[in-house]
Amino acid sequence: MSLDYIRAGTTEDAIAALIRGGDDAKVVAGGTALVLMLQEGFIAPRYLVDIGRIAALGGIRDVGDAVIIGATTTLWQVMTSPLVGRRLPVLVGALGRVATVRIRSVATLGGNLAHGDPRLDPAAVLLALDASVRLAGPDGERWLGLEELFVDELTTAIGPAELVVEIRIPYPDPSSRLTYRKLVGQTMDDYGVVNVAARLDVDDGRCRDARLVLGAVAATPIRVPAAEAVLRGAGIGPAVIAQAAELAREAADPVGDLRGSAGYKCDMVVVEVRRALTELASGPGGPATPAGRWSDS
Amino acid sequence: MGCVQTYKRVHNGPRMTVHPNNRSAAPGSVSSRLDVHFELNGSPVDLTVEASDVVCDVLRDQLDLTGTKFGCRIGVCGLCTVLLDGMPASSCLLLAPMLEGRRLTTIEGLGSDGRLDPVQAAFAEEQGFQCGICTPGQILAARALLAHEPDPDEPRIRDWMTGNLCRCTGYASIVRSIRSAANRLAESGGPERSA
Amino acid sequence: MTRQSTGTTVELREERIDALDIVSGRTRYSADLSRPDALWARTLRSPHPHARIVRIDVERATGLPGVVAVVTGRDFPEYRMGRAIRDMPILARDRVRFVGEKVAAVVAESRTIAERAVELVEVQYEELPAVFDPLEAMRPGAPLLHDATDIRAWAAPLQVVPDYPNGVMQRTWGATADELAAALESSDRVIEHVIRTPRQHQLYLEPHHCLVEVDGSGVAHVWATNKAPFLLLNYLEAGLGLERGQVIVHPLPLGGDFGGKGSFMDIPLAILLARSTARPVRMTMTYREELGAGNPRHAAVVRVVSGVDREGRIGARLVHAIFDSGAYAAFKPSPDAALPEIQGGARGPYDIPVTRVLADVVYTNTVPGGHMRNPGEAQTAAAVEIHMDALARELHLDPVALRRRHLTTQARLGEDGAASEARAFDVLDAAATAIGWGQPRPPGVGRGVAVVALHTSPGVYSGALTLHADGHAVVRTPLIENGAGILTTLRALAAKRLHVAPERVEIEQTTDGFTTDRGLGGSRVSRLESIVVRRLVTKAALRLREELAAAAILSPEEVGIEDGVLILPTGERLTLPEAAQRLEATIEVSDVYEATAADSVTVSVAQAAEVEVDRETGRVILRRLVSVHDVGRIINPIAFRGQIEGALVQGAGYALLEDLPLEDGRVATLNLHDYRIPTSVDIPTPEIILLPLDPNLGVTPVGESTPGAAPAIVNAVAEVVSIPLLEFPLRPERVRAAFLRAGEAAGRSAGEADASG
Repeated sequence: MSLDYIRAGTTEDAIAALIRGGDDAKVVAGGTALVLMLQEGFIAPRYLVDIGRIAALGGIRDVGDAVIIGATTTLWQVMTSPLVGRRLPVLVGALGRVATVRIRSVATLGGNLAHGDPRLDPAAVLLALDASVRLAGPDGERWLGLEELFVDELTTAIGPAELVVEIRIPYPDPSSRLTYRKLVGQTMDDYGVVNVAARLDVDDGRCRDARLVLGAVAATPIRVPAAEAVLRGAGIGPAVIAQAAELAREAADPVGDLRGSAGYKCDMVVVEVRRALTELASGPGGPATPAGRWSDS
Repeated sequence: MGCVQTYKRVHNGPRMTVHPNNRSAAPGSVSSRLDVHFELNGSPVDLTVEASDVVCDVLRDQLDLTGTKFGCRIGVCGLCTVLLDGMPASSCLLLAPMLEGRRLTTIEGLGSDGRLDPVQAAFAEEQGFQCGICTPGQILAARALLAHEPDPDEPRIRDWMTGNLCRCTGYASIVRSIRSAANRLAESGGPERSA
Repeated sequence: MTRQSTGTTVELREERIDALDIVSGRTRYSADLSRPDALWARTLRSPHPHARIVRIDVERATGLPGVVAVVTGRDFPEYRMGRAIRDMPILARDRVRFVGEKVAAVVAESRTIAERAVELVEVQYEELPAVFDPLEAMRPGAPLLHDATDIRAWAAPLQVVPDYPNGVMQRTWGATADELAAALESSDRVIEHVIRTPRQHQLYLEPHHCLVEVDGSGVAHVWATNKAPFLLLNYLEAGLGLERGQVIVHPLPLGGDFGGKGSFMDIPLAILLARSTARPVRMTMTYREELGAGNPRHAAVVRVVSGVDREGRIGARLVHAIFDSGAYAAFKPSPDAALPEIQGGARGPYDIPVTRVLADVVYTNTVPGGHMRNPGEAQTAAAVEIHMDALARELHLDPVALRRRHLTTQARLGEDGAASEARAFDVLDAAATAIGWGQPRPPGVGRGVAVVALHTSPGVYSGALTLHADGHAVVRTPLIENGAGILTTLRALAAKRLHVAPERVEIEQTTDGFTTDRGLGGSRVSRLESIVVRRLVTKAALRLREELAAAAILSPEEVGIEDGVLILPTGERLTLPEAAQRLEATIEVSDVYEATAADSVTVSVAQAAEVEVDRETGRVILRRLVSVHDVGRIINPIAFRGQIEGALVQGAGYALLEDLPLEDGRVATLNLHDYRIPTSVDIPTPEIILLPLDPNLGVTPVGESTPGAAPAIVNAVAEVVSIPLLEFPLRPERVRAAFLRAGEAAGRSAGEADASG
């Protein structure tokens, strides 16, 4: 068994290589997750298709009602983009919580989503932001919402010869309040015990629409439609927040590990959801500058 | 000598031709060799690597640049930190072919004309190290911080340096060194002190 | 911030000898060395905590191209390795006793081949019942790890093997059982707590590595991550049946030590493999191996009992510590098979009329324990200081006041026999004041203190001094640099005694010409090296006086010696380097100094912590960490401060984060994603306070001067939770569970109050 490394020059090259490689081919962009899995022996591909040099897959652009970010844009490039900083500060804050500077500077936004790890910070916040991905494959291109993208732990709806081309993130409504919270149990660079991304669109103290997303407590980042339904149309006060938090607990299905037992994680879902919604109820929300990583503790 | 052993199960199979530095294709997991061209510490480098080689091993074994240390090999500890196009990266998580066309800086590439980089000088004088095994990585990470933010305060320094573990110093002297380096850079801006 | 309580800041600077090499990445550690034709060896390790090896099939591994040799324990005579107790096979022969025990080794042309080949070795095991808890292992009927007669046969000189199952050693200090029983009997209240301390890993960031090359005359040259060359030689010679001269250990800098780099690890195996293959052999431990099969700090269960009178005076105390040895005792260097400073940590700086200290070390089917910073003391001092707080709360006394009531007032013996006042009160008071003890606490904020007595340990040290005709001095030493800056300290000591600038003194590291040296550890090295340097300078002065007198046709008595300076009859004063220059002579003196108990010194330290605890999540934020030190002479202020700062953060990790938890006997945290140590954002900059220096004490210990950090933090969290916390690390879930228990307890007592009212 050998490992062939293919440097794709264009998206078409990459797709052709993926078709040739079949199940034995893996896409590599930043490589932070892939190399780890190679080193640990979790995967043993025969072909690596490097998409890092495909110009069309990079870049950040404003399309009026949304930002479109090329799949191979690094988290650092996204975080430091003035456009993203202005329109999506909550995303900047969430990316600032990803592991360490070394990971953020190499890992790509597309790779982060394609990896399908429910603990990763970008996935939860992008789900709350209604982001979608454009995929390219042998049968052409298609758009997929993130809810359809995440199928199971480390499993996505991306086909074997497909790759993420770009990520579209609609700008939140001016009335939207957004927050991203990550509870770490050990050190600051650790995975979250529970990640919460929440969005409340508020008019005159009433919630017009809501998004509640939990990360790290199920096989994929999950929305909590029941909680969203309770919030929608309600005046946001302690009672409805408590109700939403309990509904979030019911939706969570965590696995006990070194960061906490399943029971503890469920309890923390309640705490963190309550804190997230309380924060949004009390103010304009969307704090989450990179300094949030430091100051939230 | 009393303890020379005869091994019953020793296999003296055919000796493989090995690279002087112990690099050889692993049978059973042979990866195709390919060429990679990149800039290393300011000079162009052409190298033949295995697809599965990680940059940390290539630097240490093929290029004898042992200033880049290895530690956890899963991107957590920061010992193998290098600068990739000026930003810190874990060289244990970078495949060598990914270097194509990129700019790589290792600790050996800091400073110039035999003079220390101000960050190196500050670490030496403030003793921002004890055993020194994490120091090349700390210095490179700090170099990148100061390149982006010349005047970071202590919380910002601590935040940026989160990924570079140190077990000896408790970080206090590292933070002092980086503050001192910021002051040096503000004053001079150029490399100083003979290395 | 380092300050003396008088307000002066210690800010002297002396750059480390190795600073330029380190910041330039030029320092070569063991793993940075190779030989062109070096082979790589890897070991296969047991997946079972306790099993009989039925069969090992190496055929597939042997057949892999590039594999040079595959060996098992059956390929060697039955070598057993150990520091004081040789109970550990180089490769398991018939049985494995912990997950991670080495079963077979592969030598191959590359690391990758060795890694692949080792997976092809097939081992058939028959699993045996295993025991993971030391208390269970001591019970009758527990699975036995070793044959009782073997344990006695392997025993180190002072090791007392107990009769219960799996006992490694038992030892008592202080009062007899009867005396203690009588004293407890006469107490008004007897209050006890059982404290469990975790298995912490040293987490030196440099994994163990070794390179062994056998030269043409059959001598094995070792370049390894080991901190004491002569102790290592002893282990290798005893374990492999070699004679002096058959192994040469080359000193190398260490990428972190903290007590963990004193064991032999893969070195004996690499020597055997290098000999049989006639090629240099390299071995490196992966982090998985380090975390699962290194030599971590022993986990312990410590029972602390206090007998208290009506006035809240403790009249009797028992500290009974049971240490989990793991499957072997091989990594314990003490001749009694205990850990050093069990007694010191258990007694603390307190005068309690009747104190009994009891220690047991017990085999279990877990990773063998070794030394880490404050071995023995870290566990007992933590237990005693956690108990002191819990006791105070139970007695409705202030924890600082309770401690003050029992602190020792006994004078210590200083360096030259001069009595020096005990300063336990001073360090405790300074720590309490600095942390704001008694000040109002914001919600969720807690404060804790701990006070500990420290002792330096004895040892044998060697050194040599050469004064060259050109006026420069060379100090030769077999000491290893582990990061504490010992070489720089040695240079400073020599420069001061020789009255020259440090740059005029060269330090040469070598084992050549020496026969013994205890090496790093035990917070003794600076103190004892200062004595060695003093003796070397005295010897050199006497030699130079002879030669100077001979050259000037004087009798030696006519040349005076004052503080290492020669005084000629003319009144001219010559430093020793000047004298050598004047004589155009190169003289060399050497010394071996064996320290005695009289060279030991006792100091007190106190640590205090302030934490903020999130009641709902259980998350603890360490806001402040204060450390107060009773200090004699400081040789190298930056190194001195660095030792404290680093040790405090390791203490914070011990209290809040670090453990090697077991799942069915397997260490569950086998990589750095799972075994976390504090990062730069997880801890504050420590505040260090030095009492006014007491030069009578000479050089005082500093490397292990913060065993109070962990209990101070635990006590601070307990203040917020309001019930004793008897087990750490205080990860969030554990703290939250304590809050829930405290709430239930409060609810219960409220309920009881309701019922009674």
